[in-house]
Amino acid sequence: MQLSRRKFLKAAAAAAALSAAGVSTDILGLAGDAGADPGGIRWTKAPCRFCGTGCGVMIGVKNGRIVATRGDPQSPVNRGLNCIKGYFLAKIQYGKDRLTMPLIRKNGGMAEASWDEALDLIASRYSEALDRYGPESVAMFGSGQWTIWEGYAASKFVKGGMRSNNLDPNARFCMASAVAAFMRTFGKDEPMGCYDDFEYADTFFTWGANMAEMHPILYSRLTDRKMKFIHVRHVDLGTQVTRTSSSADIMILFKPQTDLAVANAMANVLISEGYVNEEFVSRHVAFKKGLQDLPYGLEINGKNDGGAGFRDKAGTVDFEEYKRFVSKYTPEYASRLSGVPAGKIVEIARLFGDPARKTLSLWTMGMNQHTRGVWINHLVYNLHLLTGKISGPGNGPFSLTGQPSACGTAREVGTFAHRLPRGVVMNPAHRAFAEKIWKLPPGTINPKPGYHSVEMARAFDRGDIKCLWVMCNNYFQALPNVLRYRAGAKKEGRFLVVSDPYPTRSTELADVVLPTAMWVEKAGAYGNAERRTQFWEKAVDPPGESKSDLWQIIEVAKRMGYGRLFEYNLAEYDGKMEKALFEEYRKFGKGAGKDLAPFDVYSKVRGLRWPVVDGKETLWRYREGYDPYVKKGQGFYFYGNKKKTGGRANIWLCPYAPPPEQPDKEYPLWLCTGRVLEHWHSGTMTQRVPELHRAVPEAFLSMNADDAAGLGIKTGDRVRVRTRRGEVTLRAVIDGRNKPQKGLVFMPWFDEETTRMANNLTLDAYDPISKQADFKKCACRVEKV
Amino acid sequence: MVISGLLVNTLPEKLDQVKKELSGIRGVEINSVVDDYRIVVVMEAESVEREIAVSNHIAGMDGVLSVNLAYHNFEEEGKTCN
Repeated sequence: MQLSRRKFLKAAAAAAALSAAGVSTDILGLAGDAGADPGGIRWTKAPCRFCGTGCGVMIGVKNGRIVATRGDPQSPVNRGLNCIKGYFLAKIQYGKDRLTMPLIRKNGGMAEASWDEALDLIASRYSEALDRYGPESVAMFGSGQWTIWEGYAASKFVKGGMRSNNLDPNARFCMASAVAAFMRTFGKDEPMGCYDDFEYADTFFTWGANMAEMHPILYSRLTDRKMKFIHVRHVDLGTQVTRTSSSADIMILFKPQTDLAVANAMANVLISEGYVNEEFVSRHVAFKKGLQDLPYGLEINGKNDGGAGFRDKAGTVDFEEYKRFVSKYTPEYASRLSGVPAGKIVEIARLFGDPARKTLSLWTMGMNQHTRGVWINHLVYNLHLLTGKISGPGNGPFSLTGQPSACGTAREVGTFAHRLPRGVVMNPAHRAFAEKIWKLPPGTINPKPGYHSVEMARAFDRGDIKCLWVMCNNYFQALPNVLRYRAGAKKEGRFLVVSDPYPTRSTELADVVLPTAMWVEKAGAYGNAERRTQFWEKAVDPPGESKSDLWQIIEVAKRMGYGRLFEYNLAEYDGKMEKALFEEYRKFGKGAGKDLAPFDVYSKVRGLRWPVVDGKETLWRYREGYDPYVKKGQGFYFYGNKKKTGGRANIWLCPYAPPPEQPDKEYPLWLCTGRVLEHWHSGTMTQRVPELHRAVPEAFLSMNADDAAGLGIKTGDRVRVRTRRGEVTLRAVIDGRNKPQKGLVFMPWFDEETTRMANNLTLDAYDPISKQADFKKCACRVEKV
Repeated sequence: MVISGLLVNTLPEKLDQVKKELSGIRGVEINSVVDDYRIVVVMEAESVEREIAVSNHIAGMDGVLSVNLAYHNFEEEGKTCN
């Protein structure tokens, strides 16, 4: 490397870090948007493709290849910084085993094929299934990593074309419980606040969320706030001590599932000690009680326990009944269930309720992957509603997301089995609205919800679904109790298509594999956890014959006779199919609280938070002065509940209920699964980066020191973990980064080696309201090998 | 040779200790300290693997709150440094 170039790059590196630290520096002109670089690097913007934070990244391209990245200094999300995952952002595209040609199963092996051959085969098999068995026999399992227009095209193809509702995303595994609870409480999905809350909050509560490793940039905003203002406090609640807990002021370690009791006890303290904001509650809150004894979505002797088609029945109650309901949850009672000292519960409830402090609650999978996930989401909203700490700077319940467009695509476009881009398939008016925009004859859209994630796998196993297209996710590693469903996919008469950039545990089961363009190999749009819609342009070509998911969906649709769904006069849209789709899609949200800006606006800005009305984004929804849907004098207005409660938010009465499987004599330990910083989700991308693979080459079992000692296990020992579903063999780690409580073991799920796949072990129980599976709790046994 | 610019956030009372530890790592240069707790670091390494290993090492140091990446150039990855 030439010395001058090296010096230049080091100066650029220092300037970027300095500017991110807030030091004004414009040496070398690097703070600018395009960043003129004498080395010939062309810079372009994109949101990061990993978690749901939605950090802005500048991508440096030279000779058709990404050679540099930096945090986008103009992005309000991350202000010039990326987390350590930034080191492998570009590398995930350049794995040696990228798929470059379509593959078709022939004579037991996979043979390279042309696109025409592959697409014709998919179209003919889907058409045949539709003719013979009807729309319930075809399905698609999509993703919170789809771009907005890919999800929109999928919805139009499956629901408007095939007249099937068997479309569900992997986001169902990720945040369906948050969605269902937002809908039931506020009548509209997604957080009311935004990341600006981090700079106003006085008390942070993290619930089952290791932000330090999973959302590091937001965690930096939290720790920055703490560093600058000494009064700021952070309470971490969870079932193991993580990097996040080590920097918290108070750590609350509770027994799995007993968060339900702890949150109710906090509400009890708020009421009994006078922390209720009476004016807010009397004007803006209603009280609801649903069914209390719920199923778990389990199949017992081949028969579903009632979770699959479960619908809650809710009745209205009053504040007095709610008070009586939570009075059972004394700190002492919650302490007996949870193991948390009663005094600690009182202490954190007081901290939460202190009227002089603004309180922000943050959570992810610990609350959502929960057989009572909707309930625990409700119980946290209840605390915010009782105290009126909501919809204003620094105050609010804020569920974070794990995928870059779980919000933008899965939730907003509505790629779920019951959803449409506006509303639900069960509602005739919502169907008619979609049929009008999609120019379909009335009655086209099927009113019956389709199969949701776990039930989709069960239907494929039974043979009720004949054709399944898995796109942009690794279904056959990600499913709980995965061994059963892997066996199901191999049965005769199942036709499986998988679109992916890499070979995975899903592609190996497929009849057709389609090579997919990823991230900046195509134009895209994501929506992050704070309702921010962000666009990017294509920056580099995909390898070989790889094509975007959007192109693949439209080509199959055309071959099945649904080409009219994607016929636009592209001259009106600068020749861009993406623009035509987005302009049509945004008609669904206009005037319905989800207004989006025109396509061209997003090409220029670093994202905007919807609703975007009169060119202005919305920082805090439901609040006068911030939200254009709230009129002067209203103060707060939860307009999602306009028809049902006159615009009040609902406090729900949700009890503690035990999980469906608990440790016993045979399986004495809790098993919790999750992620590590170095590997993202099922490891499809990150395991292709040799550096990461060497850093964390395989899944491990994190154990509590007492449990390990009792079993004679030391760090590095090989251990076998068994559940009623299957087993894995791993190395044990004691006192590693995660320190589980006594009686609980933790393992990450990224590893695709079949003897180490976490989902060999997990239970396929789910929350009957959200249909989200619980990957955090089942009973296991550990023995030294 | 790969080059990156990092921002290391520390507990202020541990700043000097972290600076001392950082200065002992090959390829790591402390550019400056901002707000008494944020260290601007430039790292040169022979591979991304070393960059990731060093970043993780820094993140695990006593007194370090977080390590963030501001800039990363790998155009010369695999080539040796002058």
